[in-house]
Amino acid sequence: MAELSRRGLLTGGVAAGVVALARPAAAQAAAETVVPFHGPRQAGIATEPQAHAVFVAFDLREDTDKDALARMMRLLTDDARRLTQGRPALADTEPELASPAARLTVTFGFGPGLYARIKAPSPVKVLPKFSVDKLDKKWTGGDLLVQICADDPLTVAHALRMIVKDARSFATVRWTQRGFRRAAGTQSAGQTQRNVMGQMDGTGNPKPGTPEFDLAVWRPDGTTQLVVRRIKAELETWDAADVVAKEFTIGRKLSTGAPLTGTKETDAPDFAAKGAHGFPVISEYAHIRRAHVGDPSLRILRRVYNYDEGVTSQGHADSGLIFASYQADIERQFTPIQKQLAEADLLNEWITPIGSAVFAIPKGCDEKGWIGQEVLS
Amino acid sequence: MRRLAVIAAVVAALFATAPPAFAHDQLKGSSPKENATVDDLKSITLTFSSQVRFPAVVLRDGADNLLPLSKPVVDGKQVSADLVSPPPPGRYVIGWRVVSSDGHPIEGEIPFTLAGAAPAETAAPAEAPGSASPADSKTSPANTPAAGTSALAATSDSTMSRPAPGTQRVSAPEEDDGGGFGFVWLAGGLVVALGLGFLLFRGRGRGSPS
Repeated sequence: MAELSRRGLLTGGVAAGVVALARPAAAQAAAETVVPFHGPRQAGIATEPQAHAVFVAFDLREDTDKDALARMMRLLTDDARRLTQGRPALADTEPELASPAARLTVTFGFGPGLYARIKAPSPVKVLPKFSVDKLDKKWTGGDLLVQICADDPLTVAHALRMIVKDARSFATVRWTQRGFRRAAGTQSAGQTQRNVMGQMDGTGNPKPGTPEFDLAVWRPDGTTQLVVRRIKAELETWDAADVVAKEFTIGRKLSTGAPLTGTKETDAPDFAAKGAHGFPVISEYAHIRRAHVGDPSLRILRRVYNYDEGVTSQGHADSGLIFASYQADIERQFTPIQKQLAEADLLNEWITPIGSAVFAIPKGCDEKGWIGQEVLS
Repeated sequence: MRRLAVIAAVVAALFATAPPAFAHDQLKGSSPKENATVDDLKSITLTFSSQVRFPAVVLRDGADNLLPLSKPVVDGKQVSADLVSPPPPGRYVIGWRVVSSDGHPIEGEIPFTLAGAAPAETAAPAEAPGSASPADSKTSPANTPAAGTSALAATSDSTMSRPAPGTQRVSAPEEDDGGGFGFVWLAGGLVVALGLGFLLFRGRGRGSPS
């Protein structure tokens, strides 16, 4: 009897606790679930990264001309406009999946092939070949990109399904890359996330809402440019490296993300600091030194997602990073950094770029407009 | 008795923490050799236990001036760098840092003398376990004050500045400031290093501040 009532008390207590926790959390989530779709710039860029993403790239069908492209973008814009607000797409076959929107954003990008199709100069060019690249066609290129992000994976799946259904009479799917970050609510907003290698990723990112961010990311017309690279992590050998090796490679402490010359993640790295034998504390070849950019207008916004696909029969991981960076000018900002890294970066021992694509990101639109209107009209 | 027990504990801890460290590459030899007196210096060659990457080699004179060297080249297990011009006789220290084949950085210093007019000085090599370097028996008073404040004495709070066990020999050009660098010993066992250094090399050994 004592046993029973104690158990009853415990379960009762737990249930009460869950209810107490769940109520305010649910109320809060519902209030924050929608990211505005309309605006001078597309959403999904300055938006605090959602937990789940799928990047889908399309090849235009041969008969998709400028007019067809305009029709397609009207359709896709309409889908995005509805879905991001938690409303079903037109002819949505699973309308009940449209809500919660879970901060869904749908962001469109145009590859060099799309501009070639409409005989217009492309704002973006295919990246030069870097010495570290081992690009696989199945993760490379694309005429049209849709980046779909939300805090809920089912919402992402539904939005992807709707977008692909409306795009497929105009284009074929070239690749899809699914990625994830920490689940929503498990870390405070703005906290730097870790990648599958355990490193803090994005410490040096410009902060949305600052002049530095606007300078680095946006062009005056509200457009920007996106690089998507699939970077495989060689986890088997990375796991074999010790902490000293890992920290030397990155130039940061794994535990705190602080530079080796500092104590906090936000401390600026002291690249001039020398160790006991007169060598730089942060190696000449450390990732953060090679990737460092002094000029704020030359920085990039890393908006990255982890991937973790099927494990091999031998237990080897297929993991890595969907590196997605937004910058006003790929050639001016991204390419020099990547060249520096390709030349000499200790991290290259454990990472391999296996996919690469570039896209121009058109400006946003208002209630009457559609994405890409200024390019395709 | 108690001291013995402490030493036993320290040694036990050493063996407990050391094994992963032996996976790192080690410096097997050099030209010039540590504490050697050479007549001629055209190039520096370091030989490691296996092929290393990202080599950095510097040469400093007794006054801590850097002498220009060619970019170090890796050839198999060897790293070499040439002197750009023949240096004057005197005491020198080679500083090196490489990335071990397992990714772990290792670094160290090799003092030597280029025969000629400059007086020889004491080098104080640490007899780290596994280190087979012969100690230079020559002694003479310190006579280059500048060297005491050199980069050799620079400290860092970084783990990077801590040398790898089994590979680390740092010889102090002088025994000033009561410590010098008898040797620095590290990795998982900084505590061990401090304990050992204190017990066995009291007055000479000093661990890197962490």
